[in-house]
Parts: sequence; C-alpha cells; structure tokens
Amino acid sequence: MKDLQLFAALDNQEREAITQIAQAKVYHKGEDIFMEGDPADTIYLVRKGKVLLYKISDEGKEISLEILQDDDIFGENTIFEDVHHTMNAKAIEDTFVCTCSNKQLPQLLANPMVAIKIIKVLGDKLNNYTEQIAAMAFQDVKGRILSTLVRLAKEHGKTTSKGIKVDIYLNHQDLANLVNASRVMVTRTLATLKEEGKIEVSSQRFYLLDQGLLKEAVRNA
Amino acid sequence: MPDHAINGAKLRQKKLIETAWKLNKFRWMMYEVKLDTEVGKILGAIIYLAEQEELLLDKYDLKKMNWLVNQLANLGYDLQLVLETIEKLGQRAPFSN
Repeated sequence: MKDLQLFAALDNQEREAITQIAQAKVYHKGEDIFMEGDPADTIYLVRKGKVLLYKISDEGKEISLEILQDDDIFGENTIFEDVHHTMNAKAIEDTFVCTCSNKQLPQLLANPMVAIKIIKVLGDKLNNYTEQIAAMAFQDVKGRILSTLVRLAKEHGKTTSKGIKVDIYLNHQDLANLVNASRVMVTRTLATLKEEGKIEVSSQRFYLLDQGLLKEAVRNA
Repeated sequence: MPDHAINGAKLRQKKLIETAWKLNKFRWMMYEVKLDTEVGKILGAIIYLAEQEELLLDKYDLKKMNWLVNQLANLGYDLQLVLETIEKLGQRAPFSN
C-alpha cells in the first residue's frame, strides 16, 4: 500500500505511519464491497483492480455510476458522521484495496499531503461527472463513446507513434456501462469508428487516431 | 499542535466535506440522467443552460434561478417538477433522500 500514488509525496517514516492506519484487503471478482444502506464507516483506496459503483433503480435496473481503477478512492461518505452508503460497490476484477476506518480517518487526514491529494482525486471526479452528464444528455452513442475515450486518454493516455494509447484495460461491457448503452451497440459502434479510422484496438487497448480527437485529448490534458 | 496547523487541518476537512457533498450530488444527477427519468431530462437541460450562461450550479442567485426556471418551463418541462428538481439540486445530499 506504500506504493499508492496517494502516498507518493510522503517520506519513508510517514509511509510507515500510514501502514499502521490502513489495512490491506482483497476482493475477488464479483464480490460485493458494500451495499446501499450499509453503514459508511470505511474509506477505500484502490491499489490494483477494478470496482464498479452502481445503484439499483426501483424497477430493478442496474445503473452504473463509475468504474474505479488503480489509485482511485471511494466510500468517501465515511467523512460524514453516522451515514449509510447510497450506492453499491463490487469488484469486477480481483481487487486489492487499502481501507481506513472512520475512526482512523482523522489520523490519515492529519498529513496535509495526503488530505490535499484525496481532495484532488475527488475534485477531479467532479469535472469528469460534469462532462459525462452533459455527454449523456446530448450525445448519441457514438459521441458518448468518443468523449469517454477522450476523457480516459486525458487521464491514462500515452503518446505513441500510432496515436494516443488509452492505457487501461476496458472490455466492451465496461465501456457500455460507462456510456449507458448496450454491449451490442457499443461493439457495433466501435467497429464503425475503426472503419472510419478514428480509433484502433490493439493488445486490449484503445488508440485514438483521429487528429481532432488527439488535439482535444492533448488540449485538455 | 500549533494554531496554524489546527486551522489548516480544519480547512482541509471543510474542503473535503464540500467535495464529498458535491460528488454525492453529481452521482445523483448521473443516476437520474442514465435512468432517463423526467428529472434526468431536466438536469440535462439545466447543465446545457448552465454551460451556455456560465451559471454555477452550486451557487444560488435568485435572478439566475428565476431565469433558469422560465427557460425550462418554456422548453416544455413541467413547472412543478422543475421546481422540485432545482430544490433537490440545492440540497447537500440529494442521493440520501
């Protein structure tokens, strides 16, 4: 857990202190981490893996809210006293997390570098949400896929000779969850985007090839 | 702990709490938009109008809010639902209701 990006700015002594506060935990693929209504008493830092935050509607429909990856944070409601989770979290890959209980949270936040980093990680999410909600409300599936890939390129992009590589593993179902479309529709749209030369998929990674998309990903990086 | 350190810790905690409330609000918006409810459609329109007019969704200004309500009503959204949605948008934790 000492390797978490969140703790990168700390010296060895501070990192050792963190290991006394935070506990390592493993969740296997498909395992629930918390459910809506459970007491929010633990904050989670993703060390490695993938976690889906979702909510079940009154009609029983699963609505994906976010897919979390390495160095992400969730369960932040823990900072409020006596609250319950308002959504569900499950591991969609084998996932290693660092957990910190609400009792020990003040100790974790006592370090300014850690507190500021947590605020930054959560603050960045707010910007992403605004973009995603706007895309969801006004774009078709193709537009939503492209804006999602551009957003991911800003966060996880690497420049290569081919174009910008979105350096995280996402299958078609993950992408479908993010853009609120069916997997079949996403597969079909990705095929169209490949034919149009806008994207390429190689070794399970997406590449942005289109000049307009590349400019957008770089301009906003 | 010296005073400045205590003040710093309090400020960080305040900022963290504000950020977590906002995150809760944005997740509620995302849920409604993805579920394609009437509230979600109104929220989508609010985001569009807010972007056009550079309104800050978490800052309340009565004149701007009146303008927003009128715009949404002119777009054909149910006035009562518009008012309820804006009220919920002003709450700190719409998801917990």
